[in-house]
Amino acid sequence: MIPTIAAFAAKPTVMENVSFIVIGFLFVLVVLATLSIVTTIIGALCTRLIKEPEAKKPQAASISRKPEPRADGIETEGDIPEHIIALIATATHVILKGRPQKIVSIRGSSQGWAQEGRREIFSSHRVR
Amino acid sequence: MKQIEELFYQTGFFALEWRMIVMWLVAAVLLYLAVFKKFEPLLLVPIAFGALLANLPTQNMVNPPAGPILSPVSGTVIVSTVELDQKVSMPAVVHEMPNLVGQLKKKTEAEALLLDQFAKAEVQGQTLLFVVRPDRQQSFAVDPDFTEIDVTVNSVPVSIRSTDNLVWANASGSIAELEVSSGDRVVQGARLAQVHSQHTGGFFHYISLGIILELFPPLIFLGVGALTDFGPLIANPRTLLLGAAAQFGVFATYAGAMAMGIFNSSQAAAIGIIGGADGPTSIFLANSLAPELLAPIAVAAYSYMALVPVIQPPIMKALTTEKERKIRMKSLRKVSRLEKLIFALVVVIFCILLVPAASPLIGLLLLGNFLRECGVTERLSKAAQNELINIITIFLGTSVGITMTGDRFLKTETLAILGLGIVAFGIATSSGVLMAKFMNLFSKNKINPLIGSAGVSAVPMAARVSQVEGQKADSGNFLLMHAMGPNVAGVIGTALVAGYFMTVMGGGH
Repeated sequence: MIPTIAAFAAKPTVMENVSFIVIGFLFVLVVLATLSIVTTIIGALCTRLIKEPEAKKPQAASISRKPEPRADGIETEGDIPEHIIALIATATHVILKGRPQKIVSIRGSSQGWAQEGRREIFSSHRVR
Repeated sequence: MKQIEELFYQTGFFALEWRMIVMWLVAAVLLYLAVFKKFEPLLLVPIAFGALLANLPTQNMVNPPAGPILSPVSGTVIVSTVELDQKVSMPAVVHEMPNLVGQLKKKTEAEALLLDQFAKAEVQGQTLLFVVRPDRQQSFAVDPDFTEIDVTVNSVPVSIRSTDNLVWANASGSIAELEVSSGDRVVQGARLAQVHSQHTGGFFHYISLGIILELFPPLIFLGVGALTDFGPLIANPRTLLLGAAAQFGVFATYAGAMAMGIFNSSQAAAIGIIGGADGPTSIFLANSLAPELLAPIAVAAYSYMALVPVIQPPIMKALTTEKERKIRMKSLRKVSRLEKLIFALVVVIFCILLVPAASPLIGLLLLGNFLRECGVTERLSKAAQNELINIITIFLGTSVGITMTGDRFLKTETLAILGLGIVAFGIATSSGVLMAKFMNLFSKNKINPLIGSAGVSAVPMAARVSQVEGQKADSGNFLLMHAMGPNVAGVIGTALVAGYFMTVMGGGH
């Protein structure tokens, strides 16, 4: 297509202009229509891909993620050794400056370290 | 006393012209619209201020540095007015000079210009350095009323044709090297002479390179991509067709510009793209196909984008019934991050394979969007959304404004472009609305035709107009997210049309 249309004249005839407009508009319509079909297919595939693991997930998650109440009444995700619980209790005691406290539940935070790193980077310099 | 008098003559007052004063008024109107009416102020303020600077007798602002004088075409040098070591002095206010003799339509005007320059050459005060007769003659959109002019240069009679190229000095300095003389053959881009000066060129000469080298529009697209959520489009891909339909306005305006008979096909294409309502794309295409029309095209595109809430509603109401305006559309599904990432990659590969000429626009638009959606480049995405796009907007706006000199802007062509621009917007809006109505004939899930008007880009203003008009018909109807689909489809569509124009007209680099 390009070799014929690349020689478009500065003053084209009426017919050349009409074919230029018709081809151009159809080109845009066809390209975006194709893109629309492709997007619909991608959407259908992605929806199916996401639904399948989700259908399997709830059972597994309910088994592994459900916090288990321990003998001392603290809910934890999995088995946490006694000395770690003692360490957490000490840390909260220091942070709360000795105010009365009771640990009820211990849960992991996946993005904590990344957030702390980002906070440190941003607080390392002052924005003028 | 004599020194005071000389100092007085050195001030800018003596360089003032009526066209400058008229352009001050134009700049004042644009500033008024931007500041007090809040019409697209982020762009109109830099453009208007740039226009004001362009129409003051400034120094060290826009002047290019001295350098090589190159041949614009392959052909034969028929007149050389310069000698080695001759001084070249540019006037205080530099006017745009014709590149072809025939750009001056009347023989008397062309003759007067040539005779004036040849008379000045005798006292070394000319800025016309060479006349080159091209091997391949260019055609004019409007033919001049002459084909040849007979003049005498250095006592030698010369016949100058309307298709001959004029090569002007663009900076003050001295001729350090002279490579050609009358009768020599040259090829396009060959060095004719070298002008030397200690001065390095003005501030805006360098900033404007961002437009000439086509750096600013793709960088703006990077920011636009980082700001755009393609989710509504992915959730309802049918709306891509609305964005496609709105591009009909571009082609209809091209036809209108050609029918006027004062523009050639490249200029008509650059004017037509105003209908896409996409400022950076308009600038990108105008710079590529018709750089001489860049200023009026950019001003028309941005002014009409600002006027979208005024231009579109009457057309939308005229083309839809009350019942159609009340159509409530089905809620959009949630789009996953994976889908958005795949969409960005598919669009960039697909569109660039189809129209490589649009690669800078499409590539950076989707790069910006990928940065936004991938979730691991938050800082880059924020930089593109804020600092980068803001800085480029200041430079782009002022660089466009600085091209709005009186002699370029106060022309019949400018009025024609402004007229065609509004027609382009109107037709684009109508096409989008009518396409939505057409799609409703075959679809179970009805589309509210009001979102069709958002197929003109103007993100997100056109979508907001759809929302406002929808709520006027039914206060509980929320069309904004639905309208964002055709709105962003319009951005892709306009970039595709620009790529098509550049491919056909040979404007790609």
